[in-house]
Amino acid sequence: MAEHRAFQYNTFGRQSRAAEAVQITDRLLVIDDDVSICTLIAKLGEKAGFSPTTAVSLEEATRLLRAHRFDCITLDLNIGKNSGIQLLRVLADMACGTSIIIVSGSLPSMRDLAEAIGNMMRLQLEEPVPKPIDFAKLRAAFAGIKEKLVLQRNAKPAA
Amino acid sequence: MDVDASVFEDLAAEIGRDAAQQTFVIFIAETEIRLRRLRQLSCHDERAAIRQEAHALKGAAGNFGLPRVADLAKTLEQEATAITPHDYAVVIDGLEARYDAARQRLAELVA
Repeated sequence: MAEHRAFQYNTFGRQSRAAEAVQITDRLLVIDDDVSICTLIAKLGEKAGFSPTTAVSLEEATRLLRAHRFDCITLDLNIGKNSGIQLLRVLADMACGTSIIIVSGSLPSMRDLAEAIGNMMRLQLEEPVPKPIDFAKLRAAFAGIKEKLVLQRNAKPAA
Repeated sequence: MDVDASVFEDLAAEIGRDAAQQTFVIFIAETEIRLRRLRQLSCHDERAAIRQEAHALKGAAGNFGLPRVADLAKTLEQEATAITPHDYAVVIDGLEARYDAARQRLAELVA
């Protein structure tokens, strides 16, 4: 049901193609079990220059992560019956080096725990963004990651 | 306050009015689905689902500027493991009433 609704509402394909026309290639995966929050974060990400994809379940997120490369991930800590911490384990198993922003309405202690676990797993966790989402804080987080991606690209030796 | 319209205005300032309206349309549809689902859930054997739905409703309502809905959803999330069927029905009535009070303003924002 949730995945079906995500498909119905996912209009980003058209917008992403438009984004490609201006050479925006950095891909964002938004993981949240609430379609409206997914949309909200995806739109903010798109505005920041990412091409967003959304996942409303742990299974869908895992499938997407195994099939595609992403440059940034936002992760809720409550994904239906599952915990975002489970997904951190999946990412660690993949040796994922992608920047991850935890966007969660969980208690700060829960966000701190997730951050500690992610750091132990050597994941690239950014400063968490609490819900209700502070748009300016999330925008700043996206901008920081874009800057990092540019620096990484410029640091790569020419082929 | 039924709807904190400044949330919509802030979002519109970030991503543009059309995109903000599209996002709110999805929120409205999702919230109505979630309220119907909560109405159908039973305190007898679906308390975990009640807690999940209440948690999601709390988050979405908080993010989209419906503080009264978010507050009551938070209460339901916290009480989901012990709430009586009678109190559950009262809370669902309350959530629906609070959402109904916000609906007109939401419709104006996305019009």
